[in-house]
Amino acid sequence: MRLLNASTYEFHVVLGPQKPNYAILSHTWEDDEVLFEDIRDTSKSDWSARKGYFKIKKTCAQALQDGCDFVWIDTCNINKDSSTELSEAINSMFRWYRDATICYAYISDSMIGDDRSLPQCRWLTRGWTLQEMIAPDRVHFYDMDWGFLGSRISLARDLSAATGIHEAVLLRRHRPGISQSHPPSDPVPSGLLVVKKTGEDKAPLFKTAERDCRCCPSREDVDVESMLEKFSVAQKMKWASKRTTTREEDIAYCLMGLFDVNMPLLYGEGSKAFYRLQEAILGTSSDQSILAFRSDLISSPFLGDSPLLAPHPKLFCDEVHNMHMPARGTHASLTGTTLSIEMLICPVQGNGMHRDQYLGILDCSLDGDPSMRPAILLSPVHKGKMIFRRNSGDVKLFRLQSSHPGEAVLITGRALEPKPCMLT
Amino acid sequence: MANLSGGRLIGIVFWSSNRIRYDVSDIKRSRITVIGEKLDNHNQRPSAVPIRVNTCSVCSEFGCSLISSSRLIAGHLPDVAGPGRLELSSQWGEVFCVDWKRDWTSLQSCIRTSLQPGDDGVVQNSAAPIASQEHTVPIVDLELESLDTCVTTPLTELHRSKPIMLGTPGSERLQVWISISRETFIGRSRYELGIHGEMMGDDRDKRKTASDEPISLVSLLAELNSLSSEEGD
Repeated sequence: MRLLNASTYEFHVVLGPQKPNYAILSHTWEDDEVLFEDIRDTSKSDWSARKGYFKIKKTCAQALQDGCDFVWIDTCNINKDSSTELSEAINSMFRWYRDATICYAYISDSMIGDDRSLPQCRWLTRGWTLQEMIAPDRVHFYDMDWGFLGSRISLARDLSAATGIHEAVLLRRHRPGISQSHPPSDPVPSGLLVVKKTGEDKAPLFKTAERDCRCCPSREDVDVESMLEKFSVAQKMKWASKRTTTREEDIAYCLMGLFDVNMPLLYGEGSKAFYRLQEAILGTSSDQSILAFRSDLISSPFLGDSPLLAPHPKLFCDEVHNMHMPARGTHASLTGTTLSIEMLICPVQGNGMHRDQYLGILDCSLDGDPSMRPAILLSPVHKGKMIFRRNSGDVKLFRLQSSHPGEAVLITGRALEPKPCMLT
Repeated sequence: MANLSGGRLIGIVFWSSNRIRYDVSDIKRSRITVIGEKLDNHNQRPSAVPIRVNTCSVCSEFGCSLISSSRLIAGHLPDVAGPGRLELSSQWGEVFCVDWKRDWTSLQSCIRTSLQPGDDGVVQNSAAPIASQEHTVPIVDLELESLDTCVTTPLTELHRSKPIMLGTPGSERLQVWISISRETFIGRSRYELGIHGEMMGDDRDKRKTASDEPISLVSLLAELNSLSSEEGD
C-alpha cells in the first residue's frame, strides 16, 4: 500500500498487515485530477495548480488535524500504469477503506445549508463509493468548500433514504481496540514500513482523535464484516442496483469487498465480470437470494438466453432476506453454467401459460417476513434427473404467502403487487 | 378495490392473470440442477440438429428449380438457427414457398413451417383458395438425446400438411404438400423437410405422382396464361 505523507507529500510504501494511522479520501473523479505520475515526476509547484489539488490539500490538512500523518487518495496513490498494482489496489480497496482511521467523503456538488444537495449528489450514484461509504468505521462528509456536513452516523437517516442502505449499516461503529492500525505505543515492526522514514515514528493521535470525535456516537459496536453478514446477497446487490460505473466491468469489481471475494481483473471482459463475481459469491455462500432477481424493470438487452445468474445488479429490485440454515449443509455449486442446488420445488397446476413448469421456492423471505417466500419459475429439461432451466427473455419472481396458500403472485414494479381482496 | 355505497361495502374480486396455482402438499426439497448460458457466450450452444431438405421428387419430375435462403450442402441445411425460405419455381414462373423458423432456446429447438403459394398472380387466377398452413414439430429435447440416449429409430413422418392446389380448375393441376420427418441414429436426430408434388387431372381419380409418368407443366401454364390474357382483354 502506497501512502502519501500529509505533511511532505512524499510517498511511503507499506508492506504487511500493520499500517500507520492514515486517513482516506472518498470522492468522485473530475477533470484535472492530480495523478500519481504528477507527484512522482514533477515538483509540487507544477501539480498544485491543478483543480484536483484542492481536495488533496484539504484531505492532508484534515488528516493532520485528526491525528493521521498519512493519507490515501485513489487519484494519486495508485500507479495505474502498472496492471499488477492496479489489480492489487482494487482487490484490497475494501480493506484499505476499512482499516483507515477516518474516511473523508468529499461531496463536490453539495453545499452546507442546501438540504437537497446531499441526497441528490453524484457521490451517491457511483459504484465505487458504495464500499467507501460502508467499509470505514468513521466517515465524515465535506461539501464543495470543505465545510463539514456531518458524519455518516449523524447523516444516516438521510443517506439511508437516498441509497436504500439500511440505517444499521451506516450507524455502525467499531471501536479501535481491535483495529488493524498499530496503537501509538507499539513500535513499528522493522521492515513493514519501507522506502522513506519520514513521519512514521511520530506517535499518532489515534486514541485522542477517536475520543474527541463526538459526532460519531454509535449504538452499534460491530465490525463491518459482521454487520455485512446480516444482509443477504440480494440486499447488497440492491444497494448497488442504482449505481453506475464508467467502465462496465467496474460494477462487478467495486462489489468484491462487500461480498468478501477476490478475483483477477480482466478489463475488456465486459458483462462477464458480473457473472464471475456471482460465481465467486456462490463459491463462498449458500445464500439463495442470489437467484432472487427479475427482469420486468429493465430493458431486454441485459438478458441473455436462459439466465442462470443476473446480468447486472439492477435486476435485484426486492428486499429479499436470507433464511438459509448452514447447518443443513445445502451448499450450492456452480460448474460452468450448471448450478447444483438444494431447493424446495413444486409443480405449477393448471393449463395456463406456466403449464408443466415448477416453482423453485428460495430459502429466503420477502421484507424479512417468513410468511412471504420468493420463488423462481423453472422449466423442466429432464424431470427424472431434476434438471431445470430458467426461462429466457423474461425472468420472473413470484411471491408465496401463508395467507394465500396454493397461490403464487407475480412480483412486478417497485412494490409488491397488492393482495387479492374480497370484501362484502 | 372497494367502495362505500349507502352504508354497504361493495366488494370486487381482483384477480390477476399473474397468479399461478400450486398445491402445498406437492412441495418437496430436492437437489436440483439449474442450467443456463453465460451471457454473450453463444458458442456454448449445443449443435443444431441438421435438417435435410428433400425436394427430389418435385425438382426432378416436374422440372422445378429451387432457391434457398440458406445454403444447401448436399441437400442439407446443416445449422438453421434462424428463419429461412425455400422457393420452388417451375420454368414458367409458377412459384410456391416454404417458410420456416426455428425457435431457439438453449436446449430446445423446433421447426415451424408454412406452405403457401408464392405467386399471387397464379393464385388469383386459380380457383384454389389462398392457403397457408403452419405446423410446429413437437419440441425435441436435444440435450437429453445427446447426453445419455442411444436410441435408433427409422425415419418417421411427424407431420404431413394438407395439400395446396396450384393451377386452374378444369385442367391438370399441381398439388403440393410438405412433410416433416425425423430419424434418430444412436441418440442423434435429424429432420427431413420433404416437399412433394402430385399432378391432378380433370378426373379426380386420375392421379399422377412424381413417381408416375412425368407431367409437363407447359400445358398447365399455357392455359393459365391464356386465362390471364383473356381477363386482361
